[in-house]
Amino acid sequence: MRREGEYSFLRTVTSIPSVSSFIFHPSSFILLICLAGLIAAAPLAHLLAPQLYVEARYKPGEFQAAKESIALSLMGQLQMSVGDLMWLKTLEYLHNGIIYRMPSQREQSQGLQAAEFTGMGAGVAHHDGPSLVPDKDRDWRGPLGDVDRHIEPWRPGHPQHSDPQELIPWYQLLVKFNPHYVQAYTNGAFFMSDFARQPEMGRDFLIAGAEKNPWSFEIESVLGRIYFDYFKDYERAADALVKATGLAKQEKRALAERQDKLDNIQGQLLGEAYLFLARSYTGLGQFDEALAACDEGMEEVPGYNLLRVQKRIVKKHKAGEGGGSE
Amino acid sequence: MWKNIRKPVTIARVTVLESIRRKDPYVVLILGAAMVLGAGLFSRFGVEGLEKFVKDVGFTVTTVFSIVICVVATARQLPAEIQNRTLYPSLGKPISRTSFYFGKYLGVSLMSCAVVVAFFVLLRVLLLVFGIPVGGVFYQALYLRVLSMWFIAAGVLCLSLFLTHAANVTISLLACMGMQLFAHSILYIHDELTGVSLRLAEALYWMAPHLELFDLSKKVIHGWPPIPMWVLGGMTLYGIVYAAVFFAVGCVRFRRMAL
Repeated sequence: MRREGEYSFLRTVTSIPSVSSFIFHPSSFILLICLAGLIAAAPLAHLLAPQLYVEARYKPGEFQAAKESIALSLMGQLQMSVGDLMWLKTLEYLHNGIIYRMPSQREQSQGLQAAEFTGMGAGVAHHDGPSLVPDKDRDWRGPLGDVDRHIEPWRPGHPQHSDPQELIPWYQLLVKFNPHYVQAYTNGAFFMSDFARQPEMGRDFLIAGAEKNPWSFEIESVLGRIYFDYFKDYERAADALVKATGLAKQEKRALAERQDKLDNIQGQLLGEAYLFLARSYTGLGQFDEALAACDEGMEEVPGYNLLRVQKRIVKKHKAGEGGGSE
Repeated sequence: MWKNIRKPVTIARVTVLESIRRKDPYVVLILGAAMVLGAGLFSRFGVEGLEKFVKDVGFTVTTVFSIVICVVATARQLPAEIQNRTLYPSLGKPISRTSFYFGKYLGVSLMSCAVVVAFFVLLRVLLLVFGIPVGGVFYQALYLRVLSMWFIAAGVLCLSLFLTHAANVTISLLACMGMQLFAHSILYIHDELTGVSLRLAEALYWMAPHLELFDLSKKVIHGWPPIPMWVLGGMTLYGIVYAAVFFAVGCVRFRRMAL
């Protein structure tokens, strides 16, 4: 009886054309074979993985071969170019789509200079020259110029800046293409923490950047500032900023050997590193260390006057007269 | 009148049907799906207020793919007909070469316009899904992009009678994608030029077909207001003049060609 019931069930199933045709169709066997292959591949991959392990670091011979490889050189140039194009994209977003250029030599001789924009903090400073699409009175293209001024984003007068939050995805993409673009990490983290109000995202972005650029004092400097400003974690801030100042000294030494020095943005970031280091020590109640940080900072970045102000604040704190660390 | 128009319309209809048979619309759908999947990238960033980025990616994909489809589809029309010898039975019928050429031009232009409209519909749906508003400038951008398809198709069809298929596709794509770079380069260097080089740069600028003027995507991306109607009218006239010049040159060449 029972066996008859089973047969009748099979008959019922196989009598449904779609089900039976699916089960006995050749493609079902192929699918089954693929499935079996996938199941078999899992333990095989587990066994093979240690054999396929590749070290992240180049061995000396490999490094030399990489330096001499034309293909790698071209790939490196492509990486840099894509990174630079994305950097230009961030500037385009910041200026609402309007492209600005540096003044030509003739324009400079006529007194037209690029204006420095420092409204958003260190690392975001840049120069704004005239717009690429010329104003009507300076345009040689007649009606084509009139049309172009309506088709291309263009506005007379000084540049206006958009919400920098819109720039964040470009920084994230940029560091995917070129993980050594330090300014993308510092700017991106600043905008994430400040404008997008997501300091955790900014912190993680910088930590990822520091892993890829362990020599960069700029990243450690901004990381320390984010710990100080948004997390009030003075200990971590001090750790990052001590690291930043140490790395900066190394970089200054290396630059001095090549008769070079830190640029303006780097100088600004180094000054901020000492300032926030002093503030962090003050927040931790370590006034002697804070004073030492101010002194060292004034020596390393002589033009950074905020350190003198901070030194006076620390002295007041030490004497038990001051209020907060700010 | 209708009798004169019917012949090129029939050729155009066959061109569109041939394009459907060659599965060009499927390519559009696949590319559209890739665009929508690419939009999934945005959620990974987890930051609000990325309207510009979404629009930028959408418009870049739309512009590049619609130009590629227009160029590739147009460039193969006449060389394929000549190579496969399907041109001869067509010309054996009571149809002039001008009508045939016009029919081909009409067909590829309509097909390219349909592709652009499909992309813009897809893009509009994508922006609706993300809750990103677009103003009237979005539809102006659509109009100018559709207009540019007629312009590009005329140029590529004309070049297909002078160049090999591969050379035509390469040159046309470079011209379409690089025209903005060319125009911006002239604007960059113009102030530093003098004498003959200045005159040459200005002449080149005036003569070159300015495809970048049909691209309003930056205005849409950065949320600018719609442009005045006289600009659209001017661009329509500009597009018609250039398309007519390319069409006339191509038509003369096709009529004189020894087949």
